[in-house]
Amino acid sequence: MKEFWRRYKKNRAAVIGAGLVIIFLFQAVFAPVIAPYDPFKYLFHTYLPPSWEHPFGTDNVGRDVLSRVIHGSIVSLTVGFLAAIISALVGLGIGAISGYFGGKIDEVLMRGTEILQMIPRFFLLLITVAVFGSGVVNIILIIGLLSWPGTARLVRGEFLALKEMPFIEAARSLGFSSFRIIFSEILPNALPPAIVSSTLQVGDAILMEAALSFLGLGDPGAISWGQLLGRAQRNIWRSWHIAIFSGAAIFLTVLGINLIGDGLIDALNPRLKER
Amino acid sequence: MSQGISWKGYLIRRIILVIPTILAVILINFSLIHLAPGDPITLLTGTMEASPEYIQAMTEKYGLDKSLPEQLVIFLSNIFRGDFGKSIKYDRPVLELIFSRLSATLLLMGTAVTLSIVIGLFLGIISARKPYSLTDNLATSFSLFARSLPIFWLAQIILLLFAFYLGWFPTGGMTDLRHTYTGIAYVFDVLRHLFLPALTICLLRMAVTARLTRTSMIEVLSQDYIITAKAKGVSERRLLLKHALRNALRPVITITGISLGTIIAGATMTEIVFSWPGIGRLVYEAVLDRDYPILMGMYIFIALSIIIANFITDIVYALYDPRVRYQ
Repeated sequence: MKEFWRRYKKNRAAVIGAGLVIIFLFQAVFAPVIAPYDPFKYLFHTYLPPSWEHPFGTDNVGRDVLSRVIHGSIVSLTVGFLAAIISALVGLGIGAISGYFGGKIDEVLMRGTEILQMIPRFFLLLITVAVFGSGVVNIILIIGLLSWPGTARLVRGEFLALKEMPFIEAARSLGFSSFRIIFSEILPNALPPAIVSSTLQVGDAILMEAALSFLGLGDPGAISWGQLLGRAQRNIWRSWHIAIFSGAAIFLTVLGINLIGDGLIDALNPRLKER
Repeated sequence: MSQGISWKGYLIRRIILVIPTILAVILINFSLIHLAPGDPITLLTGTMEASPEYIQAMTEKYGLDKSLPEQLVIFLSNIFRGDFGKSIKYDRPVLELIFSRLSATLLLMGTAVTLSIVIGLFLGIISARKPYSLTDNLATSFSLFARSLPIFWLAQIILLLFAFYLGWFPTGGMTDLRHTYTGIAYVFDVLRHLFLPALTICLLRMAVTARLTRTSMIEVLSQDYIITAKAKGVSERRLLLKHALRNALRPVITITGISLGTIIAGATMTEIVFSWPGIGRLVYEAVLDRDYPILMGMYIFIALSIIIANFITDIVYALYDPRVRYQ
């Protein structure tokens, strides 16, 4: 762990990335405390430009934009992390089974994975959310369940390589069960590349949620950055400040996550190919 | 002759992968219609009060009173006959609506992607020539930023800056509605409208191409044959453009093919911001109106186009570069 941190902090950009993500996480957790105004309250002064009183201005019905951007981090980060976790679990499971057992099982699972990868993800996401409804839970599940193929293939590759290693041979000749070999012998060694790809997936999921909300397919009951941008679009010239600040929030969060991902590549030093 | 056999084998392997993918796309769509909350009729006719005759007609058309496997067969045959359903709002076939918007999208995407490949290759070569130089570092950070940018936000910033604040370009649409230009004036009018949306897509794609080119160029440049060529006194210019670039081009074309879905999704968002009259606007309006047949038809159309485009790219590339077939 100490060794890991030593290598991680050598990459200055990765430390900045971690800082950015921590700031946004803090913001999401303490949103109700930090936000200067109630994000749903109409303050009667519409389209105010940024000022001391309203650092990010107000929107078309006079709500404080800073408070809305702070509250928006809740949805973005929740969707980003939970969708990435779901995708990581499915990817690990399928990759492990495929790589460990090989043969017919591998053939079927990998064909399925390739097929899913060839289908344009965004439009599938769009119609699925449109049909099943755009609650946060649905969005998390759908993004997560559509994002695993990359991780699965990566994990499968690791398993293929690792299962031929002498220490696995040894475990097998000692009579360890497949289950035990997969979970306690191979998986820990196959984990680093999966961690990196899942980290980058957090960023992708945040971007996807933002795009859905921008199109009006976000959770109607929650505030999210994509939704703020989508509403700003309707009267973009007067909402320039809303567009700039909510977009910057998405950009900085995703940038932070991608910087962490790059840092992890160096720190964990997995055999990860250039994305 | 042996090459002929492997070529055929390659083709067959590709087809074996493409057919189930096409079926999967359609099957997913079919399942969505049936798994959706409510019944398929509501999805196909929308929230409007459909007349009993219309419901009857739809039930017959999709065989909704028959068994699921029969319905699937009917669904498949509808699609293969080019019947992608009918829009609720426009009361016109979905495919007809898509085709009426397609040329605008293709113009936008074609321009942006072509430019991005040319500029991206150029940037990638400059970066690869002197790794870790100032230019290289700038190009690397640029591609990192591009990976983190929501494209619709970039579009909005470009729109606000160049169209609203500076007033250099029109704020949206494809032509100036106040004038009816003809001939060369029309072309210039469209180009003026095209510039900002194309710039948006181009900037993001360019970053991807530059990064890829850089990686593969650095790898190619360290190989023996390049070092030999260098030793033989081949000029750097010739070395980069003729020997190295040819090899670096392949990943760029492959990745562009694989990213087509992302590119179309990006173009959709960009079209919405710039009111570009392509399929993106159609998607946006369909989402607002909950016009499910348009969304479903659009998904099938885009998915199939991408799968077929990738298939053709692969085949053409395998013809051009025999090494591909042996992988």
